[in-house]
Amino acid sequence: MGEKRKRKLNIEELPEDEELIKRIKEGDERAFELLMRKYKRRVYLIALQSTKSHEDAEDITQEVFIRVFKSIPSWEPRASFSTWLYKVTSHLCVDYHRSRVRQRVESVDDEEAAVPEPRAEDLASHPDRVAEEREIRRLIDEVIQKNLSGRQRDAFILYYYGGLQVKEVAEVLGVAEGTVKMHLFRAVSKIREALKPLKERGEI
Amino acid sequence: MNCNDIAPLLIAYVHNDLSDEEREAVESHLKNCPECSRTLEETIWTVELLERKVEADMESVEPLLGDLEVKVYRRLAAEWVREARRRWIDRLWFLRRPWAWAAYAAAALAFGVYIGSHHLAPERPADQPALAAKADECIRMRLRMYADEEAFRKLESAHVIKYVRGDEWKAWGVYNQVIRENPGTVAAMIASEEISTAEYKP
Ligand SMILES: [Zn+2]
Repeated sequence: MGEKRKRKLNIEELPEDEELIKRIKEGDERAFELLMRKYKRRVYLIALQSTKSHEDAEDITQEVFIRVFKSIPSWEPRASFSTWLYKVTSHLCVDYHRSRVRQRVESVDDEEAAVPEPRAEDLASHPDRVAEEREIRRLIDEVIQKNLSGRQRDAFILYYYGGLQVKEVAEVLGVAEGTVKMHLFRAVSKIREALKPLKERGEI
Repeated sequence: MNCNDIAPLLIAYVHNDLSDEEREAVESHLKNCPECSRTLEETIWTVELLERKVEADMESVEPLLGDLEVKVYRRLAAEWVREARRRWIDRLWFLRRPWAWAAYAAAALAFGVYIGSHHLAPERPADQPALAAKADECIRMRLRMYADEEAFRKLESAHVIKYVRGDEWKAWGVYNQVIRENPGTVAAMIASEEISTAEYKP
């Protein structure tokens, strides 16, 4: 079951988490680096959705791995590693917002969580696809930012960016699986409605 | 199950993320319900676009995170070094007065060696479980790649000058040298901290 999603979500061909953690505990110097390489982009993208700032998202990502590293010696695989990893990430994002609320001196910045565009030359062989991809990404980002409730967004981000399964998302968020399915259903339906005009014009 | 029960399952169905029981329920419903079959089709293309977007996002953040591993190691290293330094300064407090210097010259020499072996390789606190030793070892080995050993040796001698001999003036010069010669490194960061907390400022 997990296999299909992992392949679809394009995780690099890296060792399984359990294997990596075992190797870290045994003192394999490369294993912790592989673990970071495996997850850094996902953790970063989840933090970026929450902070809307590259610097803060990067800082949270570093802090997540620092905490993970310190906890690994005593970590027992009761749940999957990624579930635990994203729990740490969500806690840090919550802390981040708390400290922001406390020191809300700065004006509210409405900057979008801007994920950089793929460089044009990467898509240069298909010039019409550049515009199309950009439009799709923009539309989806807009729905995520503006049309999803907080809970729907959390579930959606963990499912798609975290690559978790429904039951793992439920565990991270502390809600029932049925609730997660409902959040995902609502979130994806909203995105589908936003993309429909493009689809009907045959642009997708 | 009716359509309202089936629709929320379709996303997990597309991702092959349902229990066998749920999957069978969805499949038998779909056979007889053109409405839900249409929703399924729409869900499939939406999910495909979503996955393309997630992949594109992952690709485009890759260059932003190229040195993340190194940054994490540096932060871990800085914490360890600070911790180790705090521990031995605690033990050396009685040597900080100039009059003690002569009396403890021999001890100081021994401490110099002690410090030397502890900076790049901070001691594991005794209460940590044995497994942590291996994890620490892993980090330590990586540190040798990233930390400039020469800078650390200089830093240690500055510490000895400051804390053991009590000559802040001379130590200040060595700390500055470390900062100048190793900009942006952990060693420079520690040296700046020493300077900023110094009681005596030239
Ligand atoms: Zn139906």
